[in-house]
Formats: sequence, structure tokens, C-alpha cells
Amino acid sequence: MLPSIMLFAVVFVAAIALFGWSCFKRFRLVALGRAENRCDNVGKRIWSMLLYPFTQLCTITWRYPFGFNHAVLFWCFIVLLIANAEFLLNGLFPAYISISYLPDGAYFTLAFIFDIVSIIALLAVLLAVIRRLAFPPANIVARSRDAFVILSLIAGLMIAFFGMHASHIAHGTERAAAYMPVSSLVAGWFSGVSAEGLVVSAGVFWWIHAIVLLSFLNYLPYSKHIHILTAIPSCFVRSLEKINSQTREEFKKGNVFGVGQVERFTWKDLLDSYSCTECGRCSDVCPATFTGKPLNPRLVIHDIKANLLKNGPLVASNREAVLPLIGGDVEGSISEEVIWECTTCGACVEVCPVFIEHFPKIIDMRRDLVEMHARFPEELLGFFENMEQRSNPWGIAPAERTKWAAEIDVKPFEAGKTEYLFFVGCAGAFDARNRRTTLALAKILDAAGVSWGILGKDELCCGDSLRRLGNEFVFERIVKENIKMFTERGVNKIISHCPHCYSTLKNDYDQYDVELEVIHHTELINNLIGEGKLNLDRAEDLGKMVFHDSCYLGRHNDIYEAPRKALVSAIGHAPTEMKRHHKIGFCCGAGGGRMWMKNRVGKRIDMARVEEALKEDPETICVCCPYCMTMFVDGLKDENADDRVQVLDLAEIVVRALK
Amino acid sequence: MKAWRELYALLPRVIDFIPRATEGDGVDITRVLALVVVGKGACDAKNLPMLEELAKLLGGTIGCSRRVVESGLLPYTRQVGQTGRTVVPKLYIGVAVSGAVQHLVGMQGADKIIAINTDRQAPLVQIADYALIGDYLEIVPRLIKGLEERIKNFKGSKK
Ligand SMILES: Cc1cc2nc3c(=O)[nH]c(=O)nc-3n(C[C@H](O)[C@H](O)[C@H](O)COP(=O)(O)OP(=O)(O)OC[C@H]3O[C@@H](n4cnc5c(N)ncnc54)[C@H](O)[C@@H]3O)c2cc1C
Ligand code: SF4
Ligand code: SF4
Repeated sequence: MLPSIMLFAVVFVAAIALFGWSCFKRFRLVALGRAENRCDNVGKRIWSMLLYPFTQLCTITWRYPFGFNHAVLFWCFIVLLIANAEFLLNGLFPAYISISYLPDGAYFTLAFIFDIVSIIALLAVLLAVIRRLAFPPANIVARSRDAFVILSLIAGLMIAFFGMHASHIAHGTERAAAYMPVSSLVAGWFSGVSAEGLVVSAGVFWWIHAIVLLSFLNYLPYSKHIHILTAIPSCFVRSLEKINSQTREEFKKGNVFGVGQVERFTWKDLLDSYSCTECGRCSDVCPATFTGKPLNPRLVIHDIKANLLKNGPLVASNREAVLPLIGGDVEGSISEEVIWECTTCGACVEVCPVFIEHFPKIIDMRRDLVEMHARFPEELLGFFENMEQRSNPWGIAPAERTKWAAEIDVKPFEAGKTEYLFFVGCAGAFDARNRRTTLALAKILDAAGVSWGILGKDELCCGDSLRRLGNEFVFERIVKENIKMFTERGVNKIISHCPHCYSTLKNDYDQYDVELEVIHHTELINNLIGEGKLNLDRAEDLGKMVFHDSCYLGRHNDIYEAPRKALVSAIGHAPTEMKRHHKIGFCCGAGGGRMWMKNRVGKRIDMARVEEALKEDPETICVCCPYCMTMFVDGLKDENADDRVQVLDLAEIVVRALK
Repeated sequence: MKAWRELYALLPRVIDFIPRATEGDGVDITRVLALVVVGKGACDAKNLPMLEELAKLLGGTIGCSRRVVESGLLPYTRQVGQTGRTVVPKLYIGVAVSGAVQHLVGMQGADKIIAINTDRQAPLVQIADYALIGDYLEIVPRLIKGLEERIKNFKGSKK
């Protein structure tokens, strides 16, 4: 029974048409999103499209050895893509297309490769199934029906492949038999079958192979394996820059702000929701998920997709959406509690293998809540009011901004006379503990002969928390006031010891046509040491020291080594690392405006981080951020460890080492 | 001791005394005129009645810092500060409260601030109108005694 070409042609065309229709239905919804340019710098984009998928850089490094298994499957998939294309074309045009028409050498090589790759793929699938059954990883729906359907389809394909070739080999009609070890092995099992029987089995396996292949194709758009189609384009449209600031709003009458309905996302956001592979890495690293809060970044992305699939077709035909994007507690709707839990630590974005941008979407939804509905946790009311009225989070009198400098001589910033503006920051000025860091840094600057001045009582908050909390309106006002002051006073070089001020002044203010050179104190101190401007002895023995990466310094701005190097100079050795450090360093819990909110559900994030630090049995914890400082100080107290462990800022450690 | 005399002068003059006006769990700490705020250094179930007594004599009630809520001694409704209540009493007495800025933001509008603390450097001591440096277990009983005398004198004068 030879495969009937006509019958197959009909099945093939129908399957392809159905696949095309499914893709059209899905991807047309992506086009509902707002415009966004992701096609600049094409060279770099093509490079990342080749680099990340084809090296599988993001998967092999994760959850060893299972991530490696994904890399194997990916590569088998690429090879079998060629094999299956040949299979389909051969089915349609058997007289013209077949690898068996190639010269012996080429044909045997390909036959060998396909045979070996198929068995590898089958084993990889088995491993994936065993893993899902025996050691399901946390945070993902490892045993989803979707996963098993896809894995069985792949396995079915491989089995049909071997059945088909083994039948030919047993029948003696396969000239590459000697180069197909696995198929030949299977052919052994067919030894008792008659010649007619073998012809029938070859045909049956051929049809099974064809049907499974076309079913796989048609199942794709409806499953999480749609990522097979979107992952590579996702690498093309990924953000080429660090995601450390948000886009501006246009404050014009009649404008809508933030994202309150799914079609208010950009097309890239919507594509992201399709690209998610449900691998669960984002949830593995999310401090909110880790401490038992309702936020789970994977589910946020999933809910956006579910909402798009539900509302998208209605919106596309100008009908009312039926499922609220924000506020419901059903699939496809994201609750307000979830939206407020995010610390914007950026860990999710850092680990996502398909470059999904999670927290910017969360901030967009906060903008909708704050700017369109004035809905936010009650503690934020005071915070917003203080920011509006006194331009600092605590509503403290501006005159107190210089209190930290009572015991030293501090100059006001004056263009021409002072080189750097020391932007003290609200925490550095008003928080008693953080004032000590401010003072330490001032002493270091003086010791190194840096020329600096302050704005004193005229300094305003940089606005970081406002922006992360979605209060873009007040943020923009503060930015403009600050920029006006910087321009009037001739400020263009700024030192900050707060990663939030640093990142905001450097990356967010950049959107407002202002040239600022912003330097974080960890970089500056490290440079000054490098230039020999700081005369350091060894600091007194501070005991075992662990180092905590601040999210806005490390992940958001790639500053990992400067503080560590400076520490080596000050204490003579590298600090101990906690279990999670550098790129997957765990948040202290204060970013994204969480500094102004109370912990409602689950464990306090700062306590979780302190516990992690305590596992290393340190005597000193080194931080580089005033928020981290508060979090560690409070966390240590509540863990009753403040009598044996101290928290110091890098500046405080370096100042102790000054000769 | 001068500070004591001044402090004594500062304590409310008794113009009326209504027992049990501000007891119970439903008290709204933002509405009372006098607040005795328990800090971690005084977070001790055994001595809480003493602080409640002080609050009662002042016609006020008990508030606390976040650490005291976290330790489970008092409910969240009693928390003063950034993530608790903002209070503006006529009299705020911080008993073993260090005065972290997250706490100060919730009580900086109080008319008169008294800090009781062993640590002279504590931020609350720095901003307080009056600071009593020492162990609260010694200081609070003396305050209570002084107040009781006043109330007794007041009741006596009304008879
Ligand atoms: C996001 C966030 C929100 C927060 N919100 C709030 C908030 O709303 N309200 C709030 O209060 N805090 C809040 N905090 C916590 C705040 O940072 C401080 O940790 C907390 O206020 C400290 O409480 P405390 O003063 O009771 O304890 P501690 O800081 O431990 O101070 C105890 C004090 O008692 C003194 N002491 C000890 N023994 C004695 C004794 N026998 N007699 C006299 N004095 C003694 C000590 O010298 C010390 O000054 C928040 C923190 C964060 C990060
Ligand atoms: S930014 Fe951090 S807190 Fe927010 S969702 Fe991502 S991992 Fe979680
Ligand atoms: S969003 Fe990214 S990291 Fe999270 S589950 Fe999806 S693919 Fe994985």
C-alpha cells in the first residue's frame, strides 16, 4: 500500500490551511497592541536572534542537567525540521523529491544523522517525562496536559519514524540500512513478518508519521509550545538596552494613562504573552513568589495571554471586552494585590529565556490604578501627599536636609567652584542610620580631594518610587523641577550613594533632554582607590563579611564588581557571597515603592534575605544602598541577630580604612 | 533634677477625670489626646499593664512601633508610623522607641514629644521636647506616681 498522493495532498493542504488560520487568529490579536519600535539596530537584533536560540545559552545554564536536555531537544528539532520537510515534500512529490535520490555518500550521511538524532530526541523526551513525573520543579505546572500532549506527539513521531524505516529495512528495500543502526535494530523485531506485511506496516507507519506531524503543527498555536514559533522572533524584538526605566506618558487632556485594558499594552507586550514557555524561572527568582505573596510573574504573563484570547476577538470587532484585565480573581484577570507586590527588582527579566519584560507591564497597570482610578494601598496616600507637598517621602521639613552635616564643613554646590553635586537623597538626608553613610562618603570625598557641594534644603526627591509606583504625573513634575534647578545652577556631574537616585537620575532623566553624568559612590570610590587618591590602610577587622547586591545597582545597571573591588582594597580580601548573588541576587524588598508599603501577605522579603545572609554566619553585612540598609537593619533586629551582626555601607567600611 | 520639674509642669493639668474612657481594642489611636507608645525596648507582656496604667492616667491610650506589632504583643491597629497610623496627639510619650524615620513620619505632628530611652543618641531623643534618659522600668513608675498624686489632689479639691 503506497501512500496515496492525492489523499495526502488533500490532508496536507487542509492541515496547512488550518495551521495558517490558527496563526492568523492568534497573531492578529497581537496587532491590537499599541505601536512600539523594535526594529532599530537590525544588525544587533539579527545577532541576538542567532546567538541565544542556537547556542541555547539561556537554557543550558539553568536547572542542570534538565536545561541541557532542552538544548538537546532544540538541536534535534532543528535537524528533524529538515528531515520532516523532506518527508512532507516526498509525500507530495515522490517522483521528484527524496534524499534517497542523492549520491550514496550524501544520502548515507543524512540517513545516519536522522537515525541517530531521532533516537536522541526520543530519549530526551523520555527524560523530560520522567522528570515531570518524578521531580516536578516548583513554580511551574510541570504535569500540565499541554506538556504531555506535546511530548507524546514528539515521541509518536519518533516511533513512527523508526517503524517506517525498520519496515523498509526488514523488507530489504532500504539501501542505507547499514547506516541506520537504530532502525536496523528495530527491523530485527520485524523478522517474522511477511513481505506483504512489511509493505503494509511501512505504509501504516508512514501515515501515522504524517498525521502526527500535521497534528503537532496544528496543536502548536494553541499550546505553550507556540514558543517554538515565537521564541526566535522574540530574540529579534527583545529590548537591546537594560530595562531600567519606563516610557513617558503624554499628559494631554483626554489622554488615557497606563494599561487598564489588554489592548493598551504594546504589541511587544502582547507577543510576550504568547512567547512564554511556562518554564517558571521568573517565579523561581521572584522575591514576592518566594515569600508566599500572590504575585507570580509567570502567572501575570499567562493572565495577559488569557485576557487577550478572551477579549481580543471582541475588541478586534469593536465590541465590549468582557473580562477585566485588573481586579478579577479569575484566570485572565490580575488582582490589584498582585500588582502592588512587585519590587521591580528585575530578576524575572534577567532570567527569562525569551526576553519577556514582566515588571514594566506591572508598572503600566499601576499607572492605570493610580492615574485613572486613584486606587492604591492606603499607606501610599501619605507618601504621595508628602511627595507632592514637600518633595520627600516622609514630609519632613526641607531645612532638615542638612542635619547630617552638623559636624563637618559642607559647601553648597556652585558651578565653577565645585565640580560634583553630591545628591544626598532623601534617605541619606533624613534617615538617622543612613545619615552616617552620607557623612562617611563626605569624608572620603574630602580625603580624596574631590570638589563637591550640595543643594542643601533645596534638594528634592529624585522621584524613583513615584515612577515605579505608577504615579507618573507627580514624577514628571518633580523631574522637571529638578532639571530646572540643575540647569540654573549648572549641575552636570552628580554623585549619589543611593542606587535608586543613581539609576533614576541616570536612566530616567535621560528621557528629558538633559546631560547628566551620574556616578554611584561604589564606582567613584573604586576609581579613587585605583587612581591612588585614597590612602588606605586595612580597616579594623570586621569579621566575616557578606556582600549584598542592590537590584538597582547590579541588575539594573550592571555594577557588580566596583563595590567588591573596593572592598578588597579596604578589608584585604573578597567578601563572602550569599547563595544568590550577582545577576540572581535576591532583593531586599524595598524597591518599586515597596519601601512605603506594609507587608500584607507572606513573609517579609527583608527577613528572607536576612535569613539567607545569616546562613553564611557573617559578622558584617556590606550594602551599597540606603534602602537595603534599612531593610537589613530591621530584618536583623526582627531576627534577633542585631547583637552579633552589623550592617555597614561600603562607604562606612572604606572610611574606616582611611589612613 | 530640673528636667523632672519641667516635665512635671508639662504633664496635663487635670480638668476632669473620666475613668475607662479610652479602653478596649476598638480604640482609634488617631483620635486620642495622649499616646503612650511602646517600643521594642519595652515590648514585654509583663510590663504592659504599667504602660497602660500610664496611658489611662493621661486620659489616653497605648500605641506602638512596628517591631512591637511584629512581635505579636499588640495589634496592627496600634501601630504608629509610615505603614501604620499617623497620629497627632497633644502628648506623645515614646517608651523605648528608637525613632526610626518610618516611625517619626507617623508622629512628628504631635504637640509635645517625650522620649524615654536608655540611649541618648536615639533619633527620637534627638527630636523630643523632653527626653528621659534611663531604664523605662524606673522612669515610668515615677511618672505614674506623679500623675496619681495630681488626680488625687484634683478629686480632693472637687469634694
Ligand atoms: C517599609 C517599612 C515600613 C515601616 N513602617 C513602620 C511603622 O509604620 N511604624 C514603625 O514604628 N516602624 C516602622 N518600620 C520599622 C522601623 O524602621 C523601625 O525598625 C522600628 O520603628 C523600630 O522600632 P522600635 O523603636 O520599637 O525598636 P528599636 O529600633 O529596636 O528600638 C528600641 C529602643 O529601645 C531602647 N531601649 C531598650 N531597652 C530600654 C529600656 N529598658 N528602657 C528604655 N529604653 C530602652 C533602645 O535604646 C532603642 O532605642 C518600618 C520599616 C520599614 C522598612
Ligand atoms: S521585578 Fe522582581 S518582584 Fe517584580 S515580578 Fe519580577 S522578580 Fe518579582
Ligand atoms: S515569563 Fe519567561 S521566565 Fe517566566 S515562565 Fe515564561 S518564559 Fe519562563
